[in-house]
Amino acid sequence: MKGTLVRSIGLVVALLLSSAGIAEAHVGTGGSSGFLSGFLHPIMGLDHVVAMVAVGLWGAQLGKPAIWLLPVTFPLVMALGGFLGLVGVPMPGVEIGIALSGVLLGAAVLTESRPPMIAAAILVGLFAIFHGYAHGAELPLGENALFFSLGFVVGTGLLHAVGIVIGLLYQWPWGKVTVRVAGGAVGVVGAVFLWNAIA
Amino acid sequence: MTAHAAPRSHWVAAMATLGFTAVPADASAHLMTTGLGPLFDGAAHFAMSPEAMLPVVALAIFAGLNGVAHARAAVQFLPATWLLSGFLGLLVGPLGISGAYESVPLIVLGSLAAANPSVPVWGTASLSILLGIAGGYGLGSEPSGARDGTLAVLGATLVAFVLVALVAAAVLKARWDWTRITARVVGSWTAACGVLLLGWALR
Repeated sequence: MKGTLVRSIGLVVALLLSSAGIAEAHVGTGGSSGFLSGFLHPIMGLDHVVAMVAVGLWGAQLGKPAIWLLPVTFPLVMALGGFLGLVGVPMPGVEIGIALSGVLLGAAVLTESRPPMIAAAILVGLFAIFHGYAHGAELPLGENALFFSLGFVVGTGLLHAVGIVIGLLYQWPWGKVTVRVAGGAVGVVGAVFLWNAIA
Repeated sequence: MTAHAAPRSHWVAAMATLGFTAVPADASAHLMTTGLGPLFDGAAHFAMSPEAMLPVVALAIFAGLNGVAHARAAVQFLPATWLLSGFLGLLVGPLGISGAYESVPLIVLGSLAAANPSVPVWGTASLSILLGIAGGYGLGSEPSGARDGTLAVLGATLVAFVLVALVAAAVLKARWDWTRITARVVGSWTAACGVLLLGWALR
C-alpha cells in the first residue's frame, strides 16, 4: 500500500513537472528599476558628478561650438569607455584618471583656459573614456540592459545640463566669478579623490 | 488499500495532471496584455519596447534635420516595410540570432542623428526600409504565439507611423539652434545606449 502511494505521488509530481508554464521573458517587469539604477549610477558618485558638471561649465565658458559639441559627443565617447569596461578590456589607473579629470577640468574653468577646440575635445574625450570605463566595469548583472543604459546616459546628460545651465551665468560679471569659483570647487574635490587614489 | 484502490489512485492522479496541463495559457514572451484587444496589445508592445522605439525616433530626427523630402521618405517607407516585415515575422517566427544585433540600429541611426551628415534622399529611404525590415520582423515574430498577431502587427505599425511622423515634423519645425541641438543630443544618447547595449550583449 505504501509503495503504491509513493508511486502515485511520484507519478503526479512527474506529470506536474512536465506541465507547461507560462513563458514570461521580457514582459516589462524590471524596466523601471533598471532605468532608476542606471540613472542613479553616475549621480551617486561625487567624483563623477563634479567632472560631468565641470564639462558643462567649461563648455559654457568656451562658448560656441563647445557648448553644444561637448554634450553631443561626450555621451558617445563615454559609452565607448563603458563598452570597454563591459567586455573586460583591462585599463590601468582608472581611478587616478577620473580624479585627474576633476582636477584638470576644474582648473581649466577656474583659470578660464581657452585651448584650441581640438585640444579641449581630446582632453574631455580622454576623461570620458575613463568615466565610462569605470561605470561599465561596475554595471550590475541582472538588470534590463537597455533600460539601465538609458538611465545611465540620461543621468550623465543631465549632469552636463546642470553644468551648462550654471555656466550660462558666465555672461554676467558676477556670473563669471561664480562659474570660476564653481570650477575651483570641482578642482578641490578632484584633488581629494586624487589623493585617495594615489595614497 | 484494496486491489481496486491502486489503479483508482493512478487514475485520479492521471486525470488531475491532465487537468493541470490542459489549462490553456498564453505564451507572453515580450508581449503586452492591455485587455483592449490585440490591436492595442501590439501598439502597447511597441510603446513599451525602447529597442524598437529609439531607432525610430533617431531615424525621424535624422530625416527631420535633413529636410522635408527626407522626412517624407521616412514617413512613407518605414511604416510600409514595418508592416510587411511584421507579417513575415508573424509567419516565420523568431530567427534566434544574437541579441547583439539589436544594438546596430541604435548605434547607426543614433550616430547619424547626432552627426547630422548630408545624405541623398534615397539614403534616408534606404535606412527607413532597413529599419522597417529589422524592427518590423523583430516585433512581428514575437506575437507569433498569440491569438491574433495580425492585428498586433498592425497596432505596432500604426504607432511606429505616428511616432516617426510626429518626431520628424517636430524636428522639421525646429527653428532655433538649441532645439536642433537638443534633437542631436537625443541622437547621441541613442547611439550611446546602443554602444552600451552591445557591451552588455558581448559581456
